[in-house]
Amino acid sequence: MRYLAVMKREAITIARDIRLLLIVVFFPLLLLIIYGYGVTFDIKGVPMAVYDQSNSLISRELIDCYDASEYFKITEFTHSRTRIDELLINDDIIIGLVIPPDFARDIKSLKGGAVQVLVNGSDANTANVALGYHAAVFADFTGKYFKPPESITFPEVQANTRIWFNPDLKSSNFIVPGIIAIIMMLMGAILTSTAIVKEKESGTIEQIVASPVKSWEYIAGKITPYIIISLFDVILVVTAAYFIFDVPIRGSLLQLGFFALLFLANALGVGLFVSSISKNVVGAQIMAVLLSLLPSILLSGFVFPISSMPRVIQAVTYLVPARYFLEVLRGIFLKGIGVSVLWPQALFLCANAMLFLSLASVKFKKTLD
Amino acid sequence: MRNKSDSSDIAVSVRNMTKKFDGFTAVDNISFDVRRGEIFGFLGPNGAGKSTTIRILCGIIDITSGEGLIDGHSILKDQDKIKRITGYMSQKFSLYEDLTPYENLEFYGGVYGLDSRTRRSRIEWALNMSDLAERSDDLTSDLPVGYKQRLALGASLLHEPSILFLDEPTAGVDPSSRRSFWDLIYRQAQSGVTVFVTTHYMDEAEHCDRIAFIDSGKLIRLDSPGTLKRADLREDIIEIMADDWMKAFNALREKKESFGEVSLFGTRIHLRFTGDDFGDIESYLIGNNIHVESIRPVPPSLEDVFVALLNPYKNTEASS
Ligand SMILES: Nc1ncnc2c1ncn2[C@@H]1O[C@H](COP(=O)(O)OP(=O)(O)OP(=O)(O)O)[C@@H](O)[C@H]1O
Ligand SMILES: [Mg+2]
Repeated sequence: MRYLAVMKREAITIARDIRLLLIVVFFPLLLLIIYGYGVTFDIKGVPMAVYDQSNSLISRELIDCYDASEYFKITEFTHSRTRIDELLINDDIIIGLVIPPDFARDIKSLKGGAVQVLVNGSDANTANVALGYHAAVFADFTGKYFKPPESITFPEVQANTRIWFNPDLKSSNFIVPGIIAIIMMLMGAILTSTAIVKEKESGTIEQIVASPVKSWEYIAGKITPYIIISLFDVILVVTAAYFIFDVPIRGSLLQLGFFALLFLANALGVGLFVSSISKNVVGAQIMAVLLSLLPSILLSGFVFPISSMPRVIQAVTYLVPARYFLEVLRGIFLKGIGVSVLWPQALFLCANAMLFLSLASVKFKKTLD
Repeated sequence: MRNKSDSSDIAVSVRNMTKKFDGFTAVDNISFDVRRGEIFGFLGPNGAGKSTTIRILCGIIDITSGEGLIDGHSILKDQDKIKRITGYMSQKFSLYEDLTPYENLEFYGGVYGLDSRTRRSRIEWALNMSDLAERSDDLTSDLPVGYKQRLALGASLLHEPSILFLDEPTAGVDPSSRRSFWDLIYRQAQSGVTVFVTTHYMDEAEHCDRIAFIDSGKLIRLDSPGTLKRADLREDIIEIMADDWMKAFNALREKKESFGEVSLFGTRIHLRFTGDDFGDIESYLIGNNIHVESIRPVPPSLEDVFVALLNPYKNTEASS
C-alpha cells in the first residue's frame, strides 16, 4: 500500500523526465554500439603474401582457406623468400606464408605439416590478432586431415578457449557480454543513487521521513521502477547484441533473466549504498560511476584476465559482481551452459548482493542526521 | 479523533532536550510543554534551533539527550505511533515540484495509509481548503508560493493529525496570503488540533496562545503574548519618526544611558524609555539638527519584547 504509493510517485517522476527517458533508452544502446564496434579487436582483410614452394593440390587448398576467410586478403603470390621480407619491411603485408616444398607429402603421410609464417610485428596487437586468425584457419584446414581435431599440434589453438568457443574468432562475442554487464551496473547504480539523493537535495525526503512509511517500503517502492527499467535495458541490449553483432545466445533466456536479476540486485545495492553516504546528486553520480564502472571494467576480467592480476587484486575481484556476471554471460551466450555449471557464480552474486544491500540499509536509517 | 478522553491536557512535552551536531550545540537543554489545542509559537532569530527542535519532535533527526513526549508517546521509542498522529510542514517547501497538486496529495494519502475512499474525500477537502480545486492538474512547480504553502498544509493535514508542526509556514509569502494562511491555522486550532508553529513574523506571533522565545538553542521565555508584554517591559515604548532616521537612530544610541535602549523597526525608531520626560528626547534631537516628524508613546509590540529579551541575554553572554 505505502510501497505502491512510493512506487507510483517515482514512476510519475520518471515518466515526466524526458532526459532520463532518453538516457535510459539510448545510453545503453550507444554504449553497446560504440564499444561493440570501437573496442573490437577484429581486423578484416589482413594483407597477406604467399610463397608456395609446394605448388600442390593440398597447398592450393590451404591457400584457398585463407583466401575464403574474410580475415585475410592475399595481395601477392611471390616466387622468393626475399620478396616476402621486402613486403614485410615496407609494411605492405602483415603476414607472409611460406609453404615448404614437401608440405603435401608430409600432410598425406600424416606426419603433420609445417608452414612458415612471417608476421609484421610493428603493431603488436594487429600481429597477435592476425596470428590468431592464422592459427584458426590453419587448424580448420588440418582438421580435415587429422581426426579427431584434438590431435592437432598447434598449442596456441588448443590452449585458447576463446577460439574454442568462438570459432569465428569474433571479438565482439567477448566484448558484448562485458558491455552488457557494465551497462547494467552503471545504469542500476547511477539511477538508484541519483533518485534517492535527489530527494535529499530537494528536501522532499524530510516529509517522507516524517511520515509513517518504513524505510524498506520507501526503498523498495523507489527502486522497483528502476528494476523494471534495468530489465528493459537488458532486453534491449541483448536484442541489439543478437541482431547487430550476431552474438550467439546458446543458453536459456530464462536463466539469463534470472542471473540478470541477481546482478541487478548488486547494482541497486551499490546505488543505495552510494546514496546513503552522499549529500548531493553530483557527488553521488561520481561515486556511483567510480564504484560501478571502474571495477566492472578493470577488475572483472573484461580487459585484464583475472589470473594475471597480482594476488591482492585477485582477492579484491571477489567483491566485483561484474566478474561473476561476465562469466555467466559468456557461459550462457557462447557455451550454452546454465545454472548447473554456473551455480558458484549465482552464489557469489547472491552473497555480494546481500552484502551491499545490508550495508546500504544500515547506513540509510541515519541519513538525515 | 480529538474526542479521545485523554487524562493529560499536554500534547507535547519536552524535557532537557539537547541536540549536538559534531560538538556544536544547536538545542541546549530545553524543557517546555505544549497544551492540547493551543497555538504554540516558537520564536527566535536565525539559527536559534527552532527547526532542529521540530525535526527532533517529528522523528526526522535523533535527539542527543533528553526526552520528548508526543501525546504521551516517547520520541525515543514510539516513532511509529507518533508519525501517525502528527502532521509536519517543513521550512523548505518539500512536496514534489514535478507532480500536480492532486498527485502530491494522492501520494501523501498513500504514504499515510489512507484507504481509497478516505483518501479521495480528504484530497477533495485539501484541494478546496488550499483553493487549488481549479489548479489541481497544474504542475506544482508552476504554482505561486502562497498556493504551494497551502498545498503543503493540506498534505500535512490529510491524515487528520491531532498535532500539527509548522516550520515557518509563511516565509516568503505575501501579506494577504499570510493572512489567509493564518485563517486556516485558526480553523484547525478551533477544531481541536494542537498547532506548533515557528515564525519570524512578530505580528503572527501575536496570534499565538503562547510563545516560546529561543536563542542560541536556549529557551529564554515562555508565556502568552499579553503577559510577555506586560511583565517583560517595564519601560514605556516611545516611537520616534524623523526624516533622517538613520542619523536620529545613531544620535539616540549615543545617549542610551540616559534615554534607554533604541531599536530600529523599519524606518521607525523604538526607544525603551528610562528617563522622566520624553520632551527631553525631542530637544536633544533638535539640538542635533534632526527634524523630528513625530514622537509619541506607543503600546508595546511583541517585537519590543523580543528585542528587550534578547539584548540583556546577549550582553551577559558577551561579558561572561
Ligand atoms: N544537520 C546539521 N548539521 C550541522 N549543523 C546544523 C544542522 N542542522 C542545523 N544546524 C545548525 O544548528 C543551528 C540551529 O539550526 P536551526 O535550523 O534549528 O535554526 P532555526 O532556528 O530553524 O533557524 P532559521 O530561522 O534560520 O530557520 C544552526 O546554527 C544550524 O547551522
Ligand atoms: Mg528553521
